[in-house]
Amino acid sequence: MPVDPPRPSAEPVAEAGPDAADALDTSESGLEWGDVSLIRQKLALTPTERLRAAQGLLNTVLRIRARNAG
Amino acid sequence: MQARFDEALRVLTRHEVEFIVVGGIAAVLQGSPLTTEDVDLVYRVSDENCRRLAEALDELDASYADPAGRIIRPDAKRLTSTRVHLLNTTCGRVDLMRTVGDDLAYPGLLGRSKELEIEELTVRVLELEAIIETKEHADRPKDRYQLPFLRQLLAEIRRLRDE
Repeated sequence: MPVDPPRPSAEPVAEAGPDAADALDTSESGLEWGDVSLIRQKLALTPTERLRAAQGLLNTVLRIRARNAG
Repeated sequence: MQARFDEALRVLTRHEVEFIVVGGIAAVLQGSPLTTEDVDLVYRVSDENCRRLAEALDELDASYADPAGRIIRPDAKRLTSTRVHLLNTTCGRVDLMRTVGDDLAYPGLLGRSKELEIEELTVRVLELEAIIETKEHADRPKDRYQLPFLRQLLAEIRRLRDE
């Protein structure tokens, strides 16, 4: 899923402190932050949108496989 | 062939088949980021339901995924007697099971499932906690790979619930 680039702002953005970094820790499950953010993206969708996204991805893979078969 | 799992679910629902979506698509519907190549379903094993299921599968032009390439069609008798049916259909791969996990059949799974709206359909889906248990029980390499994602998904859902 495309992610919007950060918008330029006239206001200086405060740098996240060490507490924020601790919040990203997912070591218990062995997952990286990217995996967790992907889960959060999916949770923001409806079941219909989740199913469509999964089907779309699968169909892209199937098309590429078919194109390169043989 | 295109995967159109929503259409497969629509056909099954139109034929009034009693089934529960389990496995990868059930997890996807609840937020899993992992993709899958089939839709796994547990169906009620009764003469009437197997007859309806056979009619729905006929509409989906289903045949067993036979490595020898033979065209073998599912029918009500096979659906009543055989435990697992790995099928190719016009909507993609559909795997049907009489039980999942620790020999859990449709009646036992009902209380651990919930209804989700998919477009105009209402589909019964196994709850995430139960999906995790079935994957822990199956314990195949692909299940072990998926489990950290599903556990994290469950933790996220609980965190959002508690906020």
